[in-house]
This record gives sequence, structure tokens and C-alpha cells, in this order.
Amino acid sequence: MLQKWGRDKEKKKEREDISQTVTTSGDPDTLSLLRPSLSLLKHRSFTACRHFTLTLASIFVHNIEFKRKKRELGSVAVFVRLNDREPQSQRPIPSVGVLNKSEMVLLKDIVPAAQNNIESKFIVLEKGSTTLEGQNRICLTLVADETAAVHLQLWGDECDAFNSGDIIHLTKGIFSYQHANLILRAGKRGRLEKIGEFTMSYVEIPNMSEIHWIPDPSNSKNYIQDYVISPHSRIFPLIP
Amino acid sequence: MASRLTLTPPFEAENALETSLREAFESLKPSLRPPFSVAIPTPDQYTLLNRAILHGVLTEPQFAKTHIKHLHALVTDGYATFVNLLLNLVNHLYPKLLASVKTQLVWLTDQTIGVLGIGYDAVLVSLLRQIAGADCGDGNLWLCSRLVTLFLEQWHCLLEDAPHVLSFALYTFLRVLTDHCRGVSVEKLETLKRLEIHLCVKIVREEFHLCLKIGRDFIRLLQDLVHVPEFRAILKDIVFNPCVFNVVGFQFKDVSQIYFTRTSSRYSLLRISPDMETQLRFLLTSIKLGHHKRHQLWFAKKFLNEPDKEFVIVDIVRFICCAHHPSNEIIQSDIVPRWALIGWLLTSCRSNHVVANVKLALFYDWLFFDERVDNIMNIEPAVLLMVHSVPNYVDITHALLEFLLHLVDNYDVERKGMMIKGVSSAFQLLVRKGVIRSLDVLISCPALPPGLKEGLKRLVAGGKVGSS
Repeated sequence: MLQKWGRDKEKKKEREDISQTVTTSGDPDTLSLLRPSLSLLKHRSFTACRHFTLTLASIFVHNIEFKRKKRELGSVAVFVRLNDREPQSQRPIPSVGVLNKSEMVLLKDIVPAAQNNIESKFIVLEKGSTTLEGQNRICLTLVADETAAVHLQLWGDECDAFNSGDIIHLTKGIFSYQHANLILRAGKRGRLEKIGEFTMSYVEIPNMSEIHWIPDPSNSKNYIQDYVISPHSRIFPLIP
Repeated sequence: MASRLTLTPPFEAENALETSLREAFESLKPSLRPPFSVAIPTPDQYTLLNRAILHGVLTEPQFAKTHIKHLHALVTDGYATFVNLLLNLVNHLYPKLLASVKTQLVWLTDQTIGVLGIGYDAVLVSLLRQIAGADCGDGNLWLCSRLVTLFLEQWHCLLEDAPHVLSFALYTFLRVLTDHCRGVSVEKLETLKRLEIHLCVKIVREEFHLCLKIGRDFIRLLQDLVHVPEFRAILKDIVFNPCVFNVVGFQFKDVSQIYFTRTSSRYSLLRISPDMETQLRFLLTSIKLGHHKRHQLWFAKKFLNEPDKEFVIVDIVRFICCAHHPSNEIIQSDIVPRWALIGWLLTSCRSNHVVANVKLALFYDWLFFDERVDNIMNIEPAVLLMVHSVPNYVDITHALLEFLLHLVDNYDVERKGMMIKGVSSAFQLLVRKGVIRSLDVLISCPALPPGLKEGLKRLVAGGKVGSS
């Protein structure tokens, strides 16, 4: 398939005319600017078509980038990026144990709180049996990462979705007391997602659910470790 | 909304490759219908189009031919990008693909062979690896059937352009035939078996040089099929009538020429699926000894969950010995050593037949060991397993030593001298290189019977001391 490349100055001018009608501002409404140019396709040469297709293509690519970034950063951040005219809002510096936005934490650093802000990655070591709590099914599991272990409670359909050996990514999770058990869970606003299997090493000691916590004397909103109840889980014993 | 490649269950993240293919398809959908743009795409646009077309072929069978024509029209790199995407798809996603997608995938592979797309041989090898061992489920048999047919149909093209793929196919189907020929003869297997035997016999009888490429494991595989008449005839010819196999530029005179050819690690990799390989390599590089129990349980739960699946352990042991050679750094650390994993696999076998085959796989490189040609890393796990089992698991040492002595005496009576030389040089090299300090730990072990220790002493001395 041969392409004829016009080197005429005339055809070059045509190309410049078309490219000026198109800007890559990332604004989806750019497409509406292109609509009059679409009719040019019927009359112009190959070179113009090619140039037009290229610019159209770069908009497609930009849109895909736009959607991907939106997913990555969260909606708020994207608009901040695109509208550079607005000043970035100053966020208060978070105090220990209270975060405005969730960030990945290692299991050894989780602290009981009434916040659903825990984001973490871990592997399921063992799964207990599924029981009924009222209308809903619950299932207690032992999970761990390279730094610590903890009891994760599955709820409802989660009980069927995960098995030992699965690597899970938790977002907006909550680490708190439920019926005197200190457990990590997704909660109403959090999400558990399986991202892999097998390829993660772990430790079973310490177990964050087997620690006795007390309110921090200097800041009663936070909790600090008081003493260790058991180095490892009492519900899921170590395998000899 | 594009149709899916896999059935991603709830709570599971969509695979990144699948996402990239689907998004490319969705964004470029209008450009995928004729009339096609004749514009030359930029490199980024080209990659995107390749992804979109791949997704289109796999999910829109009714438009597959159109998509392929589009690909032929715009390809500028010998299909390298496209075939690379296909390869990644097979390696990372094949087990989860929907049945209709798998059908399209094999059809597509056939098309890429037709245009000699760069890298199609890697795709074929990857598909061969997806044939699960010891699995007579419909999906697996379907794949076997499609691949055998593909190899027979594309015989001339492959022979001329990528003969090494036929060697890989021979290794795979010889191994898979032992699964299909085992047990009760089933109707659905008969046609498939006929085809597989036909392909293997064709390669052996017409292109023997491809068998020579495989090396000693070729004989090991053939011996498992000695109850099949065609292969019994082949073995007889190899041992008693080698001149029947005319090989251009090479005098095939004796089976020992095959014995002394080390099998490349690429063959041991063939019978291990990419998932299994990832898990085994992770176990042997990132998990500490003492913390490996759970990972072993998960591995067994996924790959060894049925009694018949034990036969895969033979291939796993061959892989660990030949295709996974840890660095000195890892050997000296507390990461799970290869001998420990092999010990666990050996003790988890229930069937005597499997145990014997596993031990053969473990010692196979010892029998005709030659320092100049063989790799000490292939023989290291066996000796370490014997030595480290001595205090607490001495029955393993006993069983292994007994098997080794029995093997040397009976594996190939005509060539016993060669095997004694091979095994003794293997022992001597291991001591010389410091893999074990000396053989005293075995020779002076109180828990081993004296007869066994005598046999070992004679073997190490090269069979020169006393009479065998």
C-alpha cells in the first residue's frame, strides 16, 4: 500500500490550516471543533487525511490517558490538575492515627480507630468457617504481610470470594472492636479486592489483633499498644 | 461495552493486560470497521491498534477475518508487536480465558504461523506449556487435539522455519501420551491418542535429528511408553538397529550418544505451566526454610489436589533439578533449598509407580554424568537430600541409595560400565567442588545397612574395587 506524500507548498498550507482548528487541551469538547473539519475528508488529499487522523488519534490517546489518570488519582485530584488557574487548597497536616486520605500502611502500623481509612496489601493465611450473624454470613481469616499478621473478617459474599493463598488489596478498611474482637474489615465503605496469589512472604508474629490497646494519655482520640496478649493468633495456631 | 476475555469473578481485580486490550478496543472501535483508514499510524497509535485488533479477533468471531485483513494491511514490524501481545496473553491469562476466546486464540496462532509472524514459535511453546499434565478434562483434551492437528497441518512450514518447535512438541506429546495411555481406554481418548502417536512417530521416523536435539530425556520418555507397540518398535530400533535412523551429517551408531547428550533446561520447562513456574521459583527464591509450610500447602491444593495429579511431580522434580539453579547467595542463605522441596514432593507421593519415576527423574543426570558436558547443579539436589536426611529421615537416604545402586545395575545392562563411571564421577565432582565435604556421612552412617554402604563404596571407586 503506497502513500503519496505531497511536498507541494500548497498541500503543506492545507495541513497547517487543519491543524490549527484542533487543539489538544484534553477538553472532550475539542471533538465538536472537529465536526466541520470532518467534511474536509471528502475533498482533501491523503496527506491532509493522514494529518487529520493523526491529530484525531492523539485526542483518543489523550482521552484514554485522561480516564486512566482519573481512576488513578481520584476525581478530585484530576480537576485540580487540569484547572491550574485555581490555587491548590491547603490540607491540614494529619495527626498520628487520624488521616484525611488513605495511604498504604504496613500491618505493623495499623491502630484501632473509628476511621475507615486503612489501605493495605496482605495474603490470606487461613480461613475459618463461615457462620451466621443475624442475616449475614461472616468468616474470620488470618492474614499477614511481611511485617505482621491480623484477623480479617469477611462479610456476606466476601466469604465465598477469598481463599487461603489469595493476595488482597484493602481500601478504606477499618480496624476496630466488634463484640470484643479486634478485627480488620472492609466495612460499609471499604473494599476488598483479590490482586494475586501465592507470591508474597509473611510473618505470623506479631498479630495486631492479639494486642491490648489503651487510649493515648496525651491524645485520647488515639490508641497505643499496652501489652501483647499473645505473640501469634490464638484462633489460628502456628503450623509446626 | 466490549465482551470479556475472561470471566473475572466479583471481588477480583481485572488483569492489567486484559484491561489494556479492552480499553484499546473500546476506544478504537469505529476504526475497526471498513472502510479502514489508510493513514500510517504513529508508534503509539500502532500499538493501540494492535491491542484493539487482538481483542476484536478474540471476542468477535464473526468479524475475525475482517480484523485480520486490517492487521495485514497496517502491519509494519513483521507482526512482532501483535505476536508479543498474543504471547503475553497466553502466558498470563490462558487458564482463565472463556472457551470461545480460546478457540479464537488457537485459530489466530494458526494465522500467525501462516504469515511467519515474528515470535510465533514462542507462542506455540507457550501453548504447549498450557497442556496440563495428568489432566483428562475436556478443556485440556481439546487443547491437545487442536495443537496436534495444528502441528500436523503446518508440518512443512514448521520443519523449514522453526524445527526446534517440533522437538518441543515431541517432548510434550510423548509425556502427555503417558497420561492418555494410562488406565482404562476411553472412547474420547482413542482418536486423540491416534493423532498424537501419529505425530510422534512421524517426527521420530522422518526427522530423527530433532530427537537427538532433545538428549537423554528422550529415552526416559520413550521408556514410559514401551507398552505402546509403535514406541516399543522405535526403542528396539534405537538400541539394536540404530542405522535405521539416517541422520544427515551425523552417524547415529549407538543409544549412548543420546545418553551422553544433556537435555537443555528448556525441555524441563515445557511440562510446567507458567503459573506453576512462578510459584515454584517464588518458593525457591523468597521463602525462608521453616516458613514454607503454608506455601507448600497452597501449591499442593492448587496443582496436586487429585490422586492422579501425582504424576506431575516427576516433571516438577525434573524442573527443579534442571531449570532452576539458584545463585550462590541464595544457596548460602536460609531460603528454602531445592533438596527440601524435592524431599517434600517425594514423601507426598502415594503410588509406587510415581515414586520410582520421581527417583529416576532425580538421578537421571547422574547415570551418564560427564563433567565436560553436564552441570553440577543438576546433580546437587539428590546428594544434598541424601546427606541432609541422615539424622532424622534416614529412611529417605536408605531408599534413595538403594534405588541408585539398583538403577546402575539394571537400567541398561549393556552399558553398566558407563553408568558406574558416570555416577562415580558425579560423586567425585560433588566432593571436589565442596557441595558435600565428603561421602563419609553416608559411608559411615550407622543407620544404613552394611550391604548398602559396601555397594556405595564400590560405586564411588568406579567399580574397580572387588567384583560387582
